[in-house]
Amino acid sequence: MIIFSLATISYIIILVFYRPSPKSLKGTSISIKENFKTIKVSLLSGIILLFIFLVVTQFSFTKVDEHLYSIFGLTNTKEAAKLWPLQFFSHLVIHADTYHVLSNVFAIGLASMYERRAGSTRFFKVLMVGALSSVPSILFYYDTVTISGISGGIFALAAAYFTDFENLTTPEWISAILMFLIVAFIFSISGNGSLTLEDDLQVDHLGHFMGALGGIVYCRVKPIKFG
Amino acid sequence: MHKDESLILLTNNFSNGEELIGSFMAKRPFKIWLFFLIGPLAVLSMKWYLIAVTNKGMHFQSLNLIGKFSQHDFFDYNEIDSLSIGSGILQIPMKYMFTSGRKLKIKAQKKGRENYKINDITLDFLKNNIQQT
Repeated sequence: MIIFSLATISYIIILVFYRPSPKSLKGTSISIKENFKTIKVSLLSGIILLFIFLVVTQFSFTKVDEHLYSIFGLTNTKEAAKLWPLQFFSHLVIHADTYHVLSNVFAIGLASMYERRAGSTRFFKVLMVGALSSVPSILFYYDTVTISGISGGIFALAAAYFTDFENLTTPEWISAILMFLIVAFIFSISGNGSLTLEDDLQVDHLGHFMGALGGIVYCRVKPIKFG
Repeated sequence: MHKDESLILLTNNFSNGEELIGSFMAKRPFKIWLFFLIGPLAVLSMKWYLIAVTNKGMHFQSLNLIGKFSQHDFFDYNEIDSLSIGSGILQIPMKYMFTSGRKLKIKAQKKGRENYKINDITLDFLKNNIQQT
């Protein structure tokens, strides 16, 4: 509960009180209320994810209730087929452990920079498209697995941050994708110089990739328009 | 965007009778404190400007992540409160204080292609037209 309170309060304070200077040099600083309006989806989604994790851990915020996790996490077993319609959406908002939820919420906080630029509606659409595009990754696993978390959507937001601009030519679009891939690759390298593909967390890298791809394709098919 | 093309696009914003004194590229360095919060991603807070100095004022054209024109702002010299100019070998640090209360710290390129590095004529013109601190 202490970790939940600290995480939630820090998240709110940083997002609400950090007000980047307006894009135009002629613009003056925005008020806290105006700032809230520009980041409302990232702020609320972070708080909701933290709160849901608190409930799933039975208010301990450390260990997930295995029974709840098996119901709401997306499983690739036939026995759980009747739960798939529920799990298709519910697995996006639950997380496997504290590190998992905190890192995803931190990443959504970072992605608020994209929300400031592109707007809340666009931010939400990209998040959803990315999250849902990452779901089919479960079909590629032979063993029984349960996936959870909204990281596919977060990767879509990260990809959109680099590729979602007005009037991009194809070479510019490709160079923007390459820029994103380089940054994503750098962050995938662990301290010992190897890719963090295998670890205790069983990270769904394929899902992340598919989420990013979903975001990139969505931004290309439905390009952003200002004004 | 090709550099020559960018200068032409920038001059499209000039008003009648406005003459180019000089132009240069400048970067706003990333915020050091962000490094402690988000690590290497702090570099993304770095911003590039293509700046044109004319007889009427200064055009600040910011570039986005992939180098395309993003935001254009024009300030006549009355709108710039003060300018402090440092010294450097490759870059010249500059700090603009605008009458709106905003400030801009940039590092102007001293080396590079003509029209994209700050030259002595442009520097002298700025010194003569904006109050120094």
